[in-house]
Amino acid sequence: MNSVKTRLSGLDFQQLVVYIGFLAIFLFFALTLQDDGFLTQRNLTNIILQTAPATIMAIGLVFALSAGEIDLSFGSIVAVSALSAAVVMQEHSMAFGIFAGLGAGVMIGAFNGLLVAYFKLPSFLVTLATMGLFAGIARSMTNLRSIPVLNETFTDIFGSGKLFSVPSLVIWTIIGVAIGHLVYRHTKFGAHVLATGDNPRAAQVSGIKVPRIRFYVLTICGACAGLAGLLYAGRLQAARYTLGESDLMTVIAAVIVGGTALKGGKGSVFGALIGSLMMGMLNNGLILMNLRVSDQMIVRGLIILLAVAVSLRDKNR
Amino acid sequence: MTPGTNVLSLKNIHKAFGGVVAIQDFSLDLQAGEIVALVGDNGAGKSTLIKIVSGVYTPTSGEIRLDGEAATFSDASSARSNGIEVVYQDLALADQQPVYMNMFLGRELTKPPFGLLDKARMRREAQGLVDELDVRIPSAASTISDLSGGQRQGIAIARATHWASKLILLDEPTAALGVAETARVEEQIINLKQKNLAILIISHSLDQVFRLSDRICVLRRGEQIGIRETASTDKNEIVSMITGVS
Repeated sequence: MNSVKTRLSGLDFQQLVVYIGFLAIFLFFALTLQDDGFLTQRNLTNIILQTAPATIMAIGLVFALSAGEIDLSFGSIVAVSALSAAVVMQEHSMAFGIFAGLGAGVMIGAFNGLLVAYFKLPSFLVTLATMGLFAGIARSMTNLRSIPVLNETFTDIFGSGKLFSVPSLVIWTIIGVAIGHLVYRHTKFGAHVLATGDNPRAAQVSGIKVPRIRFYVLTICGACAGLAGLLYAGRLQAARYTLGESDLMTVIAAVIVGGTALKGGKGSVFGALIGSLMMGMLNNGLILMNLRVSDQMIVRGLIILLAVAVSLRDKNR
Repeated sequence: MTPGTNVLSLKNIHKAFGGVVAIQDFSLDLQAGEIVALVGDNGAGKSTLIKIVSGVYTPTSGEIRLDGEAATFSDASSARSNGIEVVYQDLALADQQPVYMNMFLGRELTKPPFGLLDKARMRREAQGLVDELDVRIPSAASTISDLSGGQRQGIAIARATHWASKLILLDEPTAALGVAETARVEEQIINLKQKNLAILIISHSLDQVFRLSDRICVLRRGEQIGIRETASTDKNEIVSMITGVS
């Protein structure tokens, strides 16, 4: 009885709100858009496929936020990674392309991490600056041209392929969430990330290398954004500097709504997945409702505001 | 360790920050099963001394011996691996994590073959520990932020007890607590004596110092004024030693 009680109190409102919101939005669209094909298997699969890159970015961001840091630059990293992979694959094999794409992500993330962890600069400002810096680099890399990705093995693995009739983007999502969850909840590293975000001083006096944790979480963010870039390039069979540009708001919203605290110390990888799917469903439904792009942005902004307000409200009770 | 052996001995410890002398010529022997209270006004150097013993600061000169052997701690981790634990005034707990994770913070238990956290075992051991020390909390799975100040300090002391093999340093352990909670924490501290640990406690409350300690060591502006047996001194003497007014 006692353990059931503590288990229930552990499931607090902040962690639950994402599931409630997800169901509410799903039911709303299912009822209002039933004649417009929202509920078709094809459309629902599409939502999952479209959100795969955002979900991978969200997983990285869960780690950064949980450690008390933030990454605003992941959208720009996505573009640089996708372009790096595409450019390299024009001349070289797929393996080099993947290496270039992921490597770009890891290196930019490590650069952010270096400035935050060892030069003691606030991650908000560092990643705000690198967001602009690498958006510019993405533009200048190919003079704004988009680069086609013609390697079919690559587009199969990172885009439209299937394994045992499961779309590869779904597999990436499942792998990403599974590994993310495992590392976050069941490793020393995950525990140290949470402790660092929760109380850096307590972490420090307990022997946790706080700067190293900060370095790692931002590097992980970069690596996840790099993988997201590959997924975009694979699905669209092309890379362009605009990739990832519009993901900043949705990914941050997905992670916060998914129960990860903006101030660190608390979070959920699985919640971020549901948050990400919720955002994808929202995009999809608003398009099916035939709203103009400007109206979509307004409605999406308002709903995100509402969702974030509801999920954070509980904190100041 | 048997009672009566010197667990810690400090000899002619001197610490200066630039030109400012924080501690001058401090010497103290601390025995197993003994509680020594460190008293003095604000800025007398008590916290500096705790930080020297816990490895946060290195003394400018002087000698630290642990169990009779010369010890130099490069940082807090090396002091901890030598069996020295500190209970901080501001607790040093991660508020949003469960009790058991705090108990094992930085020293989490893992299980083979993949080195994943052994949460079940940490929870069990943490539960055993809080039960043994009679820290009354709902469960070892409770989140720290749901606990009272006294319960939190109980957790912090239980953690120190679990990991300390030689010495526990307590920096104002009851400064933020109410009367009943202070009494509980004091009981806990007295129980540590039975575990044969050496205890060095900083406290502003002379009543508490007289309740708990075996000896009292007075500091004034970095200078060691003297050490008294608690049983053979009184508050007036200690107060005049602290203030320098007789």
